[in-house]
Amino acid sequence: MKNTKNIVWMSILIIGLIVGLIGMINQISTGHVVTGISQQVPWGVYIAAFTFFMGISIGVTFIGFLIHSFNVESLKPFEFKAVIVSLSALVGALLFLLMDVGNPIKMLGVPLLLRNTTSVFFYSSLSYYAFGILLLMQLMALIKIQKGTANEKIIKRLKWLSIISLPFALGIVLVPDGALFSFVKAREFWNRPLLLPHFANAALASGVAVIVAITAINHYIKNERIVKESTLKFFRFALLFLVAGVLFLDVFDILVLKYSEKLAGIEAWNLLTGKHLFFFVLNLGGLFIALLVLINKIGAKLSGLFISSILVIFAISAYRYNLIIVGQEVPLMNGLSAGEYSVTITEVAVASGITSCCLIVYQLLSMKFNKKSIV
Amino acid sequence: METKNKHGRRDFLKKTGAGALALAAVPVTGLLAENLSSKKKRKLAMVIDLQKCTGCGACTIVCKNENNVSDGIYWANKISKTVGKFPNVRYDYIPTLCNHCEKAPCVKSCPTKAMHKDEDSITMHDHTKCVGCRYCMVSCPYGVISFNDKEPHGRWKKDDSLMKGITSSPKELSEKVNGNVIPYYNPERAETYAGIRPKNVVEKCTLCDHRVKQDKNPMCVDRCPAKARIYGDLNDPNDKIHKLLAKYVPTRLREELGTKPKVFYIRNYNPTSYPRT
Repeated sequence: MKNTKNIVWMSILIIGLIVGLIGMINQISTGHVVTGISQQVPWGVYIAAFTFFMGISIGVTFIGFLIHSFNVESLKPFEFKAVIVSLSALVGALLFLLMDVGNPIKMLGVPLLLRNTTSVFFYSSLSYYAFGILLLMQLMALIKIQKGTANEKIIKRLKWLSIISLPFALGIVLVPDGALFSFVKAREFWNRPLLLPHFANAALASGVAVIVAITAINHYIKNERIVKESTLKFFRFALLFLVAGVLFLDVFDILVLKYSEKLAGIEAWNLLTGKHLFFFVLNLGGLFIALLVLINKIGAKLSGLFISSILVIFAISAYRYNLIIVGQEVPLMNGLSAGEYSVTITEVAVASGITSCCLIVYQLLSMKFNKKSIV
Repeated sequence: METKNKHGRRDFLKKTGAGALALAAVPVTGLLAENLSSKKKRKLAMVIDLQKCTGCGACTIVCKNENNVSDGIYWANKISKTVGKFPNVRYDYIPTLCNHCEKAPCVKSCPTKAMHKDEDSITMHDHTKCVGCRYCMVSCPYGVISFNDKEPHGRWKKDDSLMKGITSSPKELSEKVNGNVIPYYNPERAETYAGIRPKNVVEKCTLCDHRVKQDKNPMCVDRCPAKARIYGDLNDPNDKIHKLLAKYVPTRLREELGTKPKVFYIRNYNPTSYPRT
C-alpha cells in the first residue's frame, strides 16, 4: 500500500517534470516571447516563484536555529526535514532564476567572472552559493550523526551551523534579495522601507507553514506519528505570531496604497482591486482565515494546523505574485501605458516542472536519509 | 662632534622634506591629470524643443533604420497623451530616448557591467557580457531598455512568399540586396556595437556613438525635419546647448529620482505660455 502510494506520487512528479522539460525546450528554442514578459513587465511568474521558493528556503532555517539555540527538543524530529526542505526549495528558486535569465550559463558565472560591486544582484547571487554550501554542510553533518559516524566535533559543527543559518539566511541572503526590489527607486510600489521586514516575515511564515504541511501529510498518508502535544503547541504559536505579523504588514501596505495621492499608489490600488483581485483576496483572505483557524480550538489540532498552513502557503504565494507583477504593471510615468502581464502555458509548464523537480529532490533525499528516528 | 651631528640632522631633514614633497606630489599629480583628462572628456546631452516637435515620428523610424533595430523594439519612442473629449481636446507628445543619466540606475544595477559609461558619458551596453537578467529594465525609470525575447528580424528569415514564383520571400529579398539578414542592414552600426543584437540580451539607444565618435550628429538629430533635437557637449561652455538651457527653463523626466538625466525638454508641445528664465 505504502509502495503503491509512493509509486503514484513519484509518477505524478515525473509527469510534471516531463511537462516542465517540454516547456523549457520550447522556451529555449523560441525565446522568452513564449512567456508573458514585455518591455513594461520584464519580470514575470518565474521571479515571483523564485522569491517564494527562496522565502521557504530561508524561513525553514528557523527550525534548526530554535533546536540548537534554545534547545527546543520537541522540534528535534524535524531537523533533518527542515534542512532537506531548505535545500530543495533553494534548488527550485535557482532553477526559476536560471529559466528567467536570457543566458543561464553566463549567469552561473556572475559571482566569479563578471562582477559589478554596485549591483545588488551581484551580492545576492554570491549569497545563494554561500547559503547552498552552508545547507550542504548541515546535511552532511546530519547524515554522519544518523549513521553514527559523527564525533563531538561534527555535533558541535552542526550546532553552530544551525545557529548561524537563520541570521545568515535573513541577513546575507534575504536582505540582498529584498533589496533587489526595495532599492529600485523607479518602481514606487517596491521602493518602500517596510518591504524588507515584510519579505522576512513572509519568508519565516512560509517556511514554518511548509514544515507543518509536510508533517501533516506524512502523518495522515504515511502514518508517521512523530508529532507531540508540545510540537503542536509550538507550531500553533509560531504560525499565529508570524501570520499576524504578515497580515499586519499587508494591511499597512494596503492602507498606504488606498490613501496614496501618488500616481503609483493610485494605479497599484486599482490593479490590486481590479485585474489582480483574485490574488489580492487570496493573499488577505487566506491569511485572515488562517489566523482565525489558529486562534480557534481547531488550531490546537494537527488538522487545524494543516488547514492554516495550506492557506498561508497560498496566501504568501499570492502576495509574491502581486508584489512582482503589480509593481511593474504600474506605469513608470504619466502618459506611459500600463504594463500587461498574463501567465502563459509555457510558464505554467515550466513552473510545474521546476516544482516537481523540487519535490523529487526532497523525496529522494528523504527516502535516502529518512530513517524512522529522524523525520 | 657637534658640527658632525648638525650636518647629519640637516641632511636628514632635507631628505625627509624631499621625500614628503615627493609623496605629496603623487596624489596632486593624479588629481591634476584627472582634471586635465576630465576637461577633455565630453558630457554629451540632448535638448528637445517640444514647441518645434511636430510628433511626426521620423526620429523613431530613422533610429530603427540606422541601428538595425528589430520589430517590436524602439530605441527612440514617445509618450503621447490625449486629454479631454472632442472638440475640447489637448494632445501632448514627448519624444523619449535613453536619457544617458549621469547617475544611471541601469549601470549601477547591472551585475556584469554590461551596462557601462563610456568616455563621452554615454550609457553603453556590451552584449557579450549581458546575461539577460533584465534588472536594468526593471531599474530604468524611463522604460527605454528593450529585451530581445525572440530571434531578431525573424520575419526576414521566412521562406514563404505572397505569390510563389512571382514575388520574393523575405529571405530571398535579403539575399538579393546584400546577403545580410535584413535588406536595409546598416554596417556602420557594427563599428562600436553589435550590428544586430542577438536573442536573450537587452539593447537600448547609444546616442549613435558610432557617429558621435566621428563628430557627426546622432541620426535622430540629423533627420528631425523640424530641427527639434539639439545635441551638444555640456562640458563645453561655448556649446549651443548651454544657450538653450539658459534661455528656457528646461525640464527632465523624473528628475526627483536623482538620476540626473541628460535629455532636457524645453518649451511645450502645445503653443501655450512656457516659463522663461
